[in-house]
Amino acid sequence: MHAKDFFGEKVKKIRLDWMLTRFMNPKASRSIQVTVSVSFTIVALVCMLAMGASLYQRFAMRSDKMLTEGARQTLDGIVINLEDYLRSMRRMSDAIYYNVVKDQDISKETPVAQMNLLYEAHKDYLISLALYNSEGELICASPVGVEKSDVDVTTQSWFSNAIKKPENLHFSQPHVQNIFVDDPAYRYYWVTSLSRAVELNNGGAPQMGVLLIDMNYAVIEDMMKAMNGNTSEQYVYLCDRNGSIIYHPMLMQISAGLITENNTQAATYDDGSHRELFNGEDRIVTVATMSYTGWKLVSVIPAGNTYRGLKDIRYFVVMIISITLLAMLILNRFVAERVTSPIIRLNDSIKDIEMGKANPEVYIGGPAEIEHLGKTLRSSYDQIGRLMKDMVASQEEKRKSELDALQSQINPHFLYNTLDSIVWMIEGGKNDEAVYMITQLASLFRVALSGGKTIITIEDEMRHAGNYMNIQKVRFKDAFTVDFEIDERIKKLCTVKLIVQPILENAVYYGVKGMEDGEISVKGVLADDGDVYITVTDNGYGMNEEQLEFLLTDNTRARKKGSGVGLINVQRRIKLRFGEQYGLKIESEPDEGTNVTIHLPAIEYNEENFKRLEGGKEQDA
Amino acid sequence: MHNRNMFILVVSMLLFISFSASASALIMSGIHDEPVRVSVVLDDSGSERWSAFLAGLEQAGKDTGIRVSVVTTGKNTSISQQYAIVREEIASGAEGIILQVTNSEGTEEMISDISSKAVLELVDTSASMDVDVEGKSACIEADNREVGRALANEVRIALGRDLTGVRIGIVDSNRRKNSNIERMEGFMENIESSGAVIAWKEYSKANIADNISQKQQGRYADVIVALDNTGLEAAGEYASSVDNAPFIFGEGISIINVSYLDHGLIRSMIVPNEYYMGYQSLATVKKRMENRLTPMENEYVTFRVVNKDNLFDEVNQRMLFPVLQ
Repeated sequence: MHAKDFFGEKVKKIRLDWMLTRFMNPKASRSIQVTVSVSFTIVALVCMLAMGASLYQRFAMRSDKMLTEGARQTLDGIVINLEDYLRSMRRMSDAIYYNVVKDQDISKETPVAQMNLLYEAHKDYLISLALYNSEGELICASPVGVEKSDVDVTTQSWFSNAIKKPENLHFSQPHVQNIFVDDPAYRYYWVTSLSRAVELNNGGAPQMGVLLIDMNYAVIEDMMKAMNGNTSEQYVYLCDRNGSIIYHPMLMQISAGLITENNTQAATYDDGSHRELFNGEDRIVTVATMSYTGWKLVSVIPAGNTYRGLKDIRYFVVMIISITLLAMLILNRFVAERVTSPIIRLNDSIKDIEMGKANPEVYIGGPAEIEHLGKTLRSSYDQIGRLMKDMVASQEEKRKSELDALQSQINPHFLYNTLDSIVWMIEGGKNDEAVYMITQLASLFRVALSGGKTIITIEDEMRHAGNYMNIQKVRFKDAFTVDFEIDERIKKLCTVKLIVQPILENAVYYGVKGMEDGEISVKGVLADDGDVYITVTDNGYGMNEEQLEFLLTDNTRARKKGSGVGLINVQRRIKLRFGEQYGLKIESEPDEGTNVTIHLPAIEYNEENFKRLEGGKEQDA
Repeated sequence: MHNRNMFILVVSMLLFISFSASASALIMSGIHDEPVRVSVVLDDSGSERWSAFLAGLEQAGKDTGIRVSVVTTGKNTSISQQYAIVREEIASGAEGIILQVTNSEGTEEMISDISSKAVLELVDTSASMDVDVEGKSACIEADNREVGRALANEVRIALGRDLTGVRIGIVDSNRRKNSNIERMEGFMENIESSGAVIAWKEYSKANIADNISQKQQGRYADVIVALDNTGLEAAGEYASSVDNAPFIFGEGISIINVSYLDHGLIRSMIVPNEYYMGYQSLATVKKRMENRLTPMENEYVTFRVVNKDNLFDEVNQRMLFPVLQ
């Protein structure tokens, strides 16, 4: 895999992890900017949705109201026109009956002339006028037509209805006229029949008859078509009181089974608007009933029509929503940035402090609250700095005091014994030896004091050790030998003072004291690893493991004899000054001797290192 | 932080695209596209027999928003003339073709060519075509074999089950159309067991009534069966000109045939639902135009058996008299 691919994969994985963390753990901490931004967006969205829902509700209600009102007005208009037409047809029927038929003795003359006149006057609305007797025989007709030979009008509904209910005028369903022959043109007419029972005067004898006015259905259709001419999905249809369709703009589709209509149900509705669910479609149905005929005009408005027809409004709504959301997003981001910027800058200052940046600049600015926080942070930081310095100084002081205390633990018993030995020498006339002892003692104290310094050269430390061993050799009458072998390269390196002398003291008192051929050797080398190793070896009685174990841990044991500066003190001083990796290593076998190794870093003794080590910096570094 | 900025950027981009698209749509909606045009090529387009079909077609045009253009043609247009007309229509921008072929034979190349250039819907009769796996064309027609069977049934209902000795004359004004071939097959299947004999068959396209008259003078048929509207009109014409007319049965829809039926010259008539055929043919073309991956499928329209008794039934009225006079 290429490095780039690998890196890409890693980035993807990190992003995925980040997203998973976000989704799986909604309580994961978020930045204040995100919180503010999301909060603003949610509030704005909720407001928008609430406002949108409210507006939508009002819009929908108003739309419904407008549509309903519009439908009602449309229906009222058609009702007036249709009723006018039907009324005029009824009036014509009345006119023929009361002014023509009633006065005419049909046995002498048929009223065909008057009927022709009326037909001519209304032929735009009429197909034919006809008068039948109760047996269904044609008395007269206008325009003059040839009756079909095998037609029996008594079987036709308009005739039977008129005979059945002679007191009423009957309007039939639209149908193709099936009475007269129109051979040359092969024409068939759609008509709506208006029939009534009439009383005929047949030579003075009253006789029942039927007056038929076949109205041109095209008139009704034209009126209805005019109302259904728009391109919307709204339409108006006409049915009778039983729901049988008289006119429907999609009647042919209904007949062909392409669509269905809820006409039977609509016929049961009262006048006014109704909401219905038909074939899974929500519709507003407005019904108006016509007088006399009981025909019902039904306006159907699919509820979705309001919005489906208004394609432009849909685009407009999407445009407005998009631009509003975009503006909201940008505005929220801007506001969130403005509000959170001071907090973020303050947070950056805290991060600098956390990262340990030297003299970090604490941001103070922004709103009063953030400014106050900044000031408080600056003040706290300064105070913490001061406290830290004080604490470091205090610790250093404490360590120095401890060192001083350790260094001052030189057993006065050693001084007393040495001075006592000198007195005995002087009293015994051994002035030269006394002078030697005093000289060695003076040299020993000069190095021990070292002008209050803690860090001295290894050369001085060896001198001090030499002085000490010279004094002890005199005191123990050269009962053992001492051999110093110090590498010249380490003589000018740094060491903590008074670390070799306590080891030599232990070598004398626990090692070679009482032996006749005691040997103590001190070797100092610069090892291959760059560190200094000073080894004090004796061939004394050695120690068992139990003694070894407590040598560097039990502070009380070292003080029983010797200078009082126990090995444990030496160990602690070295570690305090140079670090935990340095110190003592003791190896011993009973009757074989003891080997103590001092491990020190190789640090050249100069002004800079001296100051640094005196200040206790080596350990910090 | 990087992820958050990326998210906001992506959302902003999407919103901007949505805004731009809706704004463009709003502007573009003011510009009305040229409506899709579908050309209709029928034999003798001016014939009144197409009234119901054209009424259905017109209604479908209104409902679908397709501009329907009915090409004016004369009687007995040849298939090559129809092909030339269709090519002209396609060249002038017709995206769909509704075609009644006058000859169902040897149309493979023509149909393949037309259906590769426009959506093709055959009406009234099927035609020979290559295997059309993609369904680039389809046919809407009556189940013509069933129409033939129904005609035979009507003959047997009128004259009894046993037609031994009854002579039948058959009028087929276009025996090159699959519809007529299938009707003939259906009729013959159903009539042969009755014992009736075929007195003659008339296949002419012009002067059919005269030819029937001549055939009748030669070998008189007691029953004349016309397999299509033209043949039925000719049979009716013949019947109206003689005193003792034979029983006439046939398939038809024109007002002349209705009139013959009304006058009792035609005994029974099979009437396919041509309004539905016209409406559905355009609806199928529209459907194919909206989704080119959906194959077109053949469809049968229903038919009704009409006689003098049920001529003015509510349903038959709607089918036979779709246009107000």
